[in-house]
Amino acid sequence: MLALLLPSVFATLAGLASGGSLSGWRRARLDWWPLLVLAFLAEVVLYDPPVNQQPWALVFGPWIWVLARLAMLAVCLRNARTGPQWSVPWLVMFLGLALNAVVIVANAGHMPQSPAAAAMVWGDAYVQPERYADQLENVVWMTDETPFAWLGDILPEPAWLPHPNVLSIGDVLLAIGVAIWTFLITCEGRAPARSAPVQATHGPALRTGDPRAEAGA
Amino acid sequence: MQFGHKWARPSNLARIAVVVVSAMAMLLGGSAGHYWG
Repeated sequence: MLALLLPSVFATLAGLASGGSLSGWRRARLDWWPLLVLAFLAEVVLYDPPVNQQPWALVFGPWIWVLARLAMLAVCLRNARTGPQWSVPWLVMFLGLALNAVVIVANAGHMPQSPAAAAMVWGDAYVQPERYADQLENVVWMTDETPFAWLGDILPEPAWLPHPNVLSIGDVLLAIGVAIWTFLITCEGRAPARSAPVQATHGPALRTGDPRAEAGA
Repeated sequence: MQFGHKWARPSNLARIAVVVVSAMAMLLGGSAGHYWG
């Protein structure tokens, strides 16, 4: 988890170091954010007790998860195009989510996980055939027949990180996209007299998705 | 309650909280691992 959050933390610190301010965060516009939070809460409820042991959850849970991911994709798309230009960070987030969605749908609502990568993170004893059985899990073991295996969880986080996990390429893109977004909205908190708008610094394509903020509102 | 910066007013803090919560939801919900369990 920390490996996903750290890029955004460092990006925010970099934005502050370059003269930005957290005041830019209050101007950041995030359309459909309740849908995003709702989709996340649905995942939390779905994959934790007692819901994850319910018969209906075992049958429909993977596809409810797919629906939650589609909702997140919709939020990304909405925020990627709120003005005349596309927002790079939201497009990167969309790409990450889309790559994860492709492999999840191709594997019937589950993210395939590399046993080798899991062993590197949690040890050989963790890799048991029944590890992800008997309750609703969003992860299945990767096999030779797994479709889109290269989009699955194949990237082990360093074991020295707190709560290490195995990441997918989509996860990495998602973390990069959020980090770019937090950097840009932090930079937009600059005092107008001290610096030029973010658009002038990063080019017209790098938008946060908020025309009002970019106009210095 | 008096705050030192104008962006630290409760209404602004609520806006910042929306950004933080949404970013966390995007990262943890969008990533495909079981990070929240």
